Amino acid sequence: MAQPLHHPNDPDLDLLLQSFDAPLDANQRRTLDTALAQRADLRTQQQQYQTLRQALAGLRTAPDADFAGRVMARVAEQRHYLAPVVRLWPLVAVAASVALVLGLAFIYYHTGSLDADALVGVDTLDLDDALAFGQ
Amino acid sequence: MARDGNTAAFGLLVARHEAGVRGIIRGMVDDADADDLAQDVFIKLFKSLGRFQGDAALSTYLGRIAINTALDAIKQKKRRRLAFWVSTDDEQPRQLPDSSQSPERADLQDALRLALARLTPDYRSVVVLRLVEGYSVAETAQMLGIPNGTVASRLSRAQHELKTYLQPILQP
Repeated sequence: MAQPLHHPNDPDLDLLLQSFDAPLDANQRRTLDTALAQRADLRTQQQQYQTLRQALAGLRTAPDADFAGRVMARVAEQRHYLAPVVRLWPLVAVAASVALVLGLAFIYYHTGSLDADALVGVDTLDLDDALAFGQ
Repeated sequence: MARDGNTAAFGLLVARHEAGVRGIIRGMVDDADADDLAQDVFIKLFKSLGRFQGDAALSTYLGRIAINTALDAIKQKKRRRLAFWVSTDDEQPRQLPDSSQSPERADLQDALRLALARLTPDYRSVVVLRLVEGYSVAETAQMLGIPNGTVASRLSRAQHELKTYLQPILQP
């Protein structure tokens, strides 16, 4: 895995960090091993990073036997509130469609048209109301 | 079966994955909000199970929901603070335990949680997913929607920052 350099002045440290998350190729492994053998500061860093990573792995959360129950209670609650909506939804949709069709039929019966003015009802407005509508 | 609305099967699924999800959330946000947010993650999963294609492992899919939920919560909290000009304790950098006085009593895990909280959400998320929860670099990249190389570089910088914060405790 090609990794952008984080420590441009210390490529050995970059290799060290890379080695924790991905296998190094033979050349990189040799370079890192040589650097570790020669540099006490790099060995110290290696030890510190290992300690840090082990400690972070130790932060894993323990299972909570009650948690699933709390989630399932919320799922049941949601189902309780949503069930009537889901059940009634087709009826509501049909009723709304029928109301729309009846409304359009009523407008057509009285105005003989379904254009925008007829839908808004401009033709049937009083003069004052029409002026106010125009403004 | 859970996808077909079988609540018993969904309960088993929650039990199997709850620790991982709670771990991601707790690593990202304050303890006080963590439990509610973790529950939100499973409610979102319940609602979206029909859309889950199975092209990713469920744990990766859940991890993605968890990390997005946590990041949204962090953004929301930040927006609230900006909107109301509220100053809370969270805005002040929290102090690490002074291990120089009593290194033997320094609680590394508490210190780690405080140090994690000081990282930016971008860095914290890669540390939590890769180093705390143990997902691979590729899985972490998939959950965060970023390239593997970006995960690697963020990991490198985040570890460097954590090591700096925790230097007194990590000193051999």
